[in-house]
Amino acid sequence: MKLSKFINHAEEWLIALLLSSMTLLTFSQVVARYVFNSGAVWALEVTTYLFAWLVLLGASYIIKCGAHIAVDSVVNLFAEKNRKIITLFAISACMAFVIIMFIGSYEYVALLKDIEIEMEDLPVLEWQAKIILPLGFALMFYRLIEVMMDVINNKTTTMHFEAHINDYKE
Amino acid sequence: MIIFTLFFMLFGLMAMGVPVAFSLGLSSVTVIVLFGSESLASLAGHLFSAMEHYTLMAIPFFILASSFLSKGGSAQRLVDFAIASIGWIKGGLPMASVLACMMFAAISGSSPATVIAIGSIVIAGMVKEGYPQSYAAGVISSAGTMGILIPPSIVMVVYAAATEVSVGRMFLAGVIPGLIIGSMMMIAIYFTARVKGYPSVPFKGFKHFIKTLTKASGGLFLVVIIMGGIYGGIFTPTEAAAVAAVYAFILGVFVYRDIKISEISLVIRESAKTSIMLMFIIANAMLFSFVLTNERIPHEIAETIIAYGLPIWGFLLMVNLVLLIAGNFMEPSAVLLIMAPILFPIAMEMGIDPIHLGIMMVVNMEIGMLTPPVGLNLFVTSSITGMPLIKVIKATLPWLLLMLGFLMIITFIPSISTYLPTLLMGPETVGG
Repeated sequence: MKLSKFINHAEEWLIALLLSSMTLLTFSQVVARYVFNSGAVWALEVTTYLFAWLVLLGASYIIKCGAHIAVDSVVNLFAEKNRKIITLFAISACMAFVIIMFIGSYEYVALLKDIEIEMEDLPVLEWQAKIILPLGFALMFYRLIEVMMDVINNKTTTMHFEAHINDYKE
Repeated sequence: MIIFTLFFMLFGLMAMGVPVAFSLGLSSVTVIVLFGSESLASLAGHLFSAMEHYTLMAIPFFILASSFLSKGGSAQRLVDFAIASIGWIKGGLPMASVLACMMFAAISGSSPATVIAIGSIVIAGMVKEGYPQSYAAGVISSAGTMGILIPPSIVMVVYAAATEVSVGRMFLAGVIPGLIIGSMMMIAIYFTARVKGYPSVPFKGFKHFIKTLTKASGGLFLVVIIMGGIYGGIFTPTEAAAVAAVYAFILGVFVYRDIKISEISLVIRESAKTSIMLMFIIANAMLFSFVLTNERIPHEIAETIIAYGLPIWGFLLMVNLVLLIAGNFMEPSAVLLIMAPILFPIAMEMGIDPIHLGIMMVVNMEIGMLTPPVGLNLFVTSSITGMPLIKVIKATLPWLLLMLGFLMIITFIPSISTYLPTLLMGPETVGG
């Protein structure tokens, strides 16, 4: 229980950190260009990968928050009991996608590992930077199981339980 | 057969409550597994490449910026300024709300964000002054749609990424249409106010006006930074967005001091959530449009349509119809990413300006935000007012008709969209 709490917090902090560092890095490039008349070649590549890590890591985090936007209006037409079955089916559909993509990402990263190309500007191998693909989908699978358990135990009836106001709480 | 499977699965999954992103992803993957020759590994590569789009990186930055602006008190100051400038006219409060929405739209890139930022301040104010709540809600949910029309705009960034049109041009193209619909709304409010005898706010003097302007100028200066920076060639739109985010942060935390230090991480996390949600939809929509293109579906549709020999106006009407329907059911960014690869080549073939097509798509998406079942602005308005959704839908209906009229103007007078970008950036060079 304690471990999962720790993981939840670490996840939140990591996501905030990824977003703020990509913002600051891009901002600093503008400053560097005009104030110091220089810029780091590697900055763009780093920002790109921070962005990819943010999205792929975050996709599982927002499953937990119930913030993936979905259309509830059709499901809400059904009686409570049937709604549960439909939602369980919907979660299984997500699982199917996540499993297929996990296999694909694993193959993709394994392929990159075999050919051992380095990134353009960073002293890192490309497969290491893209390891987030299979990792992200594995985490999504874990979060989907959690939501499924919640639905089975009647804690929620939908994957998209966060109120709509939070969809775009910018 | 393939196209049938693809769209049937997409809508079927969405109807069952599968999140939009996963519906897009699963239907594309299924088609590839059943009919395609691509390997799963290459699909993973394609999904990843969505995040390597430099243009799209502007999205999280713009979201972060408007988050800091609305929590940081900029929205309140914009509302005060708007009331001080036009509140004294008959029906002044709703008119000022529209003006405040326009100003917030000019510093933020999303419509629901505009509704939340301005609506949560002005709706209560209007009710206090004796306006019916449904009237206030209708005005705000429709005026909020300008968030994606008046630059900066997340939806325009997505269109630019999908079609290789310049983001800068799209942003400029939104200015005149934005001013037109804003004025149309204000004029409509004025006449309703005369008929129904709505009150006005007394003018508090020129000094008060200057005071509110000074207070609002911190937020308004962002317009200068974003537009000036992009068109002065100082930075790219993506960099402009990052600068805007840092500026909004400093403004909210150190200048207006409406955000406490302890709240910063919460604001960042909330923006991260929105960005992730949106980007995961975009990445999967790109996968979907990759499957479409890979199966040569846009090409086939284009050939069929061109073979029909539709006149340009007929084609444009059809585009509107298709987009209005699609906009009802899906997230605007996803609609753009799916429809743009299909419509863009046909439009190019017929000699329609890509910028004009882009603005048409944006206006259609605005209308889509006001129509059930997936009208985001309706949901957002209903949750900030506590009004039932069905009442918000009714309240928005007259404005929806106004928007449809506006869409016709945009559709048949292309120069409204293309005049400003051509004037400031030279004639369009993107083609085919």
